Amino acid sequence: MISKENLASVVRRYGVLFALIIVFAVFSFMEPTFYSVRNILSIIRQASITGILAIGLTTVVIAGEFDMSFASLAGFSGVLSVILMGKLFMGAIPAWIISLLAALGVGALNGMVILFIGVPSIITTIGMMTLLAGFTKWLTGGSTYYSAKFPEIFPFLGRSFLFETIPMPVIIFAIIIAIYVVVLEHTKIGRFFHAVGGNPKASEHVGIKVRKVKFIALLISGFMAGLAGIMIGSLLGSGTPAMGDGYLMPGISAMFIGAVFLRDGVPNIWGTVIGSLLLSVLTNGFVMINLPFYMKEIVLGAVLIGSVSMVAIFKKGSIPGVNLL
Amino acid sequence: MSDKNIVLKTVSISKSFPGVKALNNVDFDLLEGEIHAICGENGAGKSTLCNVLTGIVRPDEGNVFLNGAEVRLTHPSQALRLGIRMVYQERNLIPYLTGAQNILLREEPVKGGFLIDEKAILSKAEDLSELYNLRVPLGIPVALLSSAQRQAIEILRAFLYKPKILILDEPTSSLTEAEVKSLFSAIHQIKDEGVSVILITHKLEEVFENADRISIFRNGERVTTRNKEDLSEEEAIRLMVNRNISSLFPEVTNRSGDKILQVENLSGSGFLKDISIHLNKGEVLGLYGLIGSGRTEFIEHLYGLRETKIGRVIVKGKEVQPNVHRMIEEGVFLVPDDRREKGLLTSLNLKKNLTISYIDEFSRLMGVVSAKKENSLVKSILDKSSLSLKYSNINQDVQVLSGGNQQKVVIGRWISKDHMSVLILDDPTNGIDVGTKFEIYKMIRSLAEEKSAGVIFISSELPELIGVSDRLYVFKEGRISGELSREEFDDEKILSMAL
Repeated sequence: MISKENLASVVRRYGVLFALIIVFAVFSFMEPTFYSVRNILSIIRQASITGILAIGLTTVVIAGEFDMSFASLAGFSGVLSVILMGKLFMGAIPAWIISLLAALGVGALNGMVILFIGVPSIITTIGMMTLLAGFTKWLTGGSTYYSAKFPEIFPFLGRSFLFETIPMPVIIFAIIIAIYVVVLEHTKIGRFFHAVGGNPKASEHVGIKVRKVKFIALLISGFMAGLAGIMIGSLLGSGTPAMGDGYLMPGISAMFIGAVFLRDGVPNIWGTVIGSLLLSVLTNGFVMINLPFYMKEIVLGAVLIGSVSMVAIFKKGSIPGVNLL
Repeated sequence: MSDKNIVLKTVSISKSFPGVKALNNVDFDLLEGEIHAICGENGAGKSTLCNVLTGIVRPDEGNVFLNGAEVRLTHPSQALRLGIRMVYQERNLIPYLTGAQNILLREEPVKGGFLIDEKAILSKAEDLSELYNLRVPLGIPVALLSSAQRQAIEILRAFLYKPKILILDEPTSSLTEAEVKSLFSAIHQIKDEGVSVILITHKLEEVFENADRISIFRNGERVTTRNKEDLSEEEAIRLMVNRNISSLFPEVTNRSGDKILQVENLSGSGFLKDISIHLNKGEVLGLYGLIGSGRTEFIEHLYGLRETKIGRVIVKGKEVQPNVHRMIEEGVFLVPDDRREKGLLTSLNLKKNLTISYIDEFSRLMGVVSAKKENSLVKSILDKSSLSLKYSNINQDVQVLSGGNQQKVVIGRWISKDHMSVLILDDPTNGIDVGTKFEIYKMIRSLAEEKSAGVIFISSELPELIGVSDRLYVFKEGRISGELSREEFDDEKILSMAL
């Protein structure tokens, strides 16, 4: 038997999942091609890239900081990999590795400014976001960069399919989720992320190196941004100056939406995954039902504020990592 | 004295907080134009009474009468309107406004209907400062002023409103003697203008020099109120501490051994000066001092939470540069003073809070933790009879536990560590019920006597320190003002060393 209170708690815990199903059903009803296998795979592929970025952000927020630079960093490392292949004739694998290392370097730089100089993370990463946007424009010369001499395996990360059906980004996303569930719930560092995010002073008292743990979280966010970036480059088959920008709002929203899934207002991995799917369904659906061009931003903005409001209501006021100054 | 009017009167005020009776049936009265000092140990109920009078705390029972009429004080702004004004120990000034701007905050003279008249602000503030002979720079931001100057500005701000009742909480805690003199002459002047002053201070000399009447509080009760002439300093101390303490504590058998921890000539944090202590194996060492005497800061230096540049720390014969990891490695553990702020990991559940300090012992390659080992560890910690933690589920949220059980969680973190050599407990019984207090005392004794650890026990409550410790150091104003062995324990003596 399900009592009233149980029902309320189920709705609250799984509300995001219900929302996903409802939104999906509504779009399917309005536009039958929306639920074609082809489109569903495309939605999941999109969600994978948003999700990888959002997982990086989730880590940082659990550890009590914030990252606004991940989308811009994805754009930067994606463009960097494309330029290395097209202009310097590098193989895809070295170009990808260098781009990932560059993204890690940016994560480390964020970490140094935030943790050793003491600039609030949201300010630091807004600065980094803008700074990287400039570098990305410089690398591309301000317009889409394309070369006929891209290596053959360039499309592998973004556009290839396993067994000719499952998009490669989905495979990569699944692997990352699997690793991450273990890392966050079953390793020391995962527990330390939660500890320093919840109470840095108490963490210090039990001997946790608070700055080191937060630094690792920022490195992870940098790595995820780099990975998503080279996947976006591979998916597009070119480099454009703003190719990461569209992931900022969906990534942040996915993390906050996820924070009301299962737990009351604490960012978590499964919540972020479902949040990413929901965002991807929304953005894909807007295109499919021919929503006016201005509606996408209006809805995404409303979704972000709405999801953070839910977190604020469930947590009764305090949101970890969003204590701005 | 008796011909003066009673301005303020409380009748059987009681107030309880979880686990403590902060005020118990308190009758108190204040005469027009008197300085009335309230004395008592930390936790005697002085600040709760003032919080009731300023509307911050609502009493459970009892009435407050102002000029004979009953008032219900429900909010600080209401107390202000009725002319009750308090100057708090911590400064409440806006740092980037000037002294004059702070004094006339919300009382700014205007010209032309809405423009603030800066000249008038300065001249008004200057008049006030001259009238009461409290000379402070009024035209520069208060952030640039010394602590004493800021205190003077606070006082002038309070004088501006000409309250009926002025409550001063430790007004001289950071002042030099000359500054204290000029402050009190201003206070006497406003008293002569008919203002009634309640003075809360730990400094008995000031009380006897300046007060007209003195009330002694102890354990939430007003013990006595007398004219200054009818009370001696010695008697005041005796009345403040007098308690029957023999049966509230476990039996003490001292078998302390070699030195396990030494601190030599430690200075730091701006006011800790030349502190040397030692701790023996199997010994419970008490540290006593009033709040602000430097005991917590000293411990934070010792544990490596503050950087120590001057002084040596020697653990088991080896000199150690204090940092938290090194101290934990050496088996020196700290249970911090504010369990919500510094103790509980609020985002982790009960189990994970208990096991966080043992995590290396049950994690495998790549830092993957073994759930099986962790669960058996939790069981062994919780089964320890000395802890007796009450909980419903090991995965429950730590924030819903009672204060006493939360404290046990923080203690439980260290209690099963095999290599414990020193356990430091900073004010562990603060806000905890009597039953749990006794359990903590027992645990402290058993750690020393059975595990032969050295225990440092810090408290503001003298009776429990006397009941549990083998030896005692007294802190006063950043220095050690005395060391006593158990045979020499005497609460009047200890209190006079701390005051």
